[in-house]
Amino acid sequence: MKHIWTVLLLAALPYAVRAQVSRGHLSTGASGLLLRSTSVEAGYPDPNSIPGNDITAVYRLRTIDANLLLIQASGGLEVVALKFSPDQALGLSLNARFGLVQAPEEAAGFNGKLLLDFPQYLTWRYGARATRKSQKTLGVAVGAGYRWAYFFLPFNSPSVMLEGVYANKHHDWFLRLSADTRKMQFYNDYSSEGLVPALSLQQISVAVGRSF
Amino acid sequence: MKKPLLLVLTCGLLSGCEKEVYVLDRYATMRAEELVVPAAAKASDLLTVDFVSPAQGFVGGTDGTLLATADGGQSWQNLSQPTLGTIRKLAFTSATAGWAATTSGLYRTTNGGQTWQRVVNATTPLNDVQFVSPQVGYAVGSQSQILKTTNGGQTWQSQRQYTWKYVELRSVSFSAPDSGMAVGNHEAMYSTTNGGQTWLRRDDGISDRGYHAVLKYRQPEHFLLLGQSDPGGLLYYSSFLERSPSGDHSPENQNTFTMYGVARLQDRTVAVGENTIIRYDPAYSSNANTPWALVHASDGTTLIRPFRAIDFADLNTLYAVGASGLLMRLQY
Repeated sequence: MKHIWTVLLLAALPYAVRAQVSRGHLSTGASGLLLRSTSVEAGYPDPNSIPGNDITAVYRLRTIDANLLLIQASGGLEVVALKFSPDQALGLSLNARFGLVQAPEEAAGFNGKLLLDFPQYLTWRYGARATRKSQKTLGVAVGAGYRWAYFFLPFNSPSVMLEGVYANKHHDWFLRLSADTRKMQFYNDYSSEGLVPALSLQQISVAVGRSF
Repeated sequence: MKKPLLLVLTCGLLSGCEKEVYVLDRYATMRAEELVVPAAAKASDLLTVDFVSPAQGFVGGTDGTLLATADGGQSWQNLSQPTLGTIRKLAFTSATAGWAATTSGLYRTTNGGQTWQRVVNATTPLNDVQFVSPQVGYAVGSQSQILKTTNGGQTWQSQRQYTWKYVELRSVSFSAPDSGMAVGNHEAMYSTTNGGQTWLRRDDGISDRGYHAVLKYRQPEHFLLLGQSDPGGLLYYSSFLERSPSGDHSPENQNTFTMYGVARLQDRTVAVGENTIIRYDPAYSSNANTPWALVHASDGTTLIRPFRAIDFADLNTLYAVGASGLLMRLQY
């Protein structure tokens, strides 16, 4: 999947450059990683404390229901693909961001992990930031697309975003909310049961940014 | 410019809607169902189980506990007879004909366990009996006792020699009438390739580690050993070991729970012990170096039960017994 997106985005970039209507942005923000896990965990008893010195792993179910914090920084490019008017356009939002997962305690090996992800959206913009020629002070954008990531687990999902824009003489400031539309589901393969849901991840993000 | 770009975006969105499946771990699992045993048997340790068909099976245990089912374990008839002593092994050749190795001797039934005739008086308790063919059978027990019959059990001859050091032989397994093994405590491992005319014996005489069961394969020098690890020692041995000329295999995780019983049907082999079930399952072993996988319950947890013996009723159904009246049906 990520390879398909990489090819598509590389194919789209020349059009953006030729169009000369792109605008970059930088942002920072935080994401919530909604982690739900019910899976088996191996425990090894202390062999010196157990009669018979049995040390074979004993597997028990462990359920984790945690909301992890992901501190992120992001950069991106807004490309106008279809301009209806100076204040309304369809476009492409190409983004790259990296973040660090933080949790108050160890949560299934997620704490401290780096995440590099690439949310890409087809956007509809109205008002400020719709095109370079917009004179509006306020603007709004909605987008739908796909977010793929480099993480220690595959972590890709369709994603939507909602953005509010405030424009002054020099810059556009924006507040962007984005969320995965479906959980990333991981399974365990039990020989007698087939695939059993073991872990799900979903990302919800808030970011504040400025265009340049 | 705009149309190709929109085409690219549309293709991207469509490709993003494709759902991918990711598997984190793989586990060998079995569905397990605990069966109700007659009240009189609940206090007994069940030590042996033998199914002769998917519906008909027998269970034996301490104090002559003997149960029979004719409906695939839905109900159990109590045929217990305290005079039998502790039944260590049941070996039925049909729904009516079978053998019992017990602490008081070797018994035979011809009516499905209703009555038993003692064919060998036990000077020492017997622990296992196996018929390799309708005529040839072996039984083993304490004090290095090895009995053999060549006439369908009418008479039994001891193969023990007076020069042998006494060990408790707990299990016997022959892969052919002449080729077999017997194992026991003190790491005793006896093997023969000439029908017991001579036995190659190995035991250290001092180790607390011992073997509870053996399964001899048809391939030469290829067998399974089940037993206990070295209690209190600094080195922890696996209590389950497959030995073949190409090397030794133990389960994916080091296993030191004592193992007691093993069952094999066609290409499926399952072994049980204290809190442990292990099966031959290369597809679900998490370690590429061994085909043996620890078996989990259907929810992935460990089957923590005091198993003592197991047997196939058919290729997909097994029955396991254990301490304190434990009786379970397992789906392979």
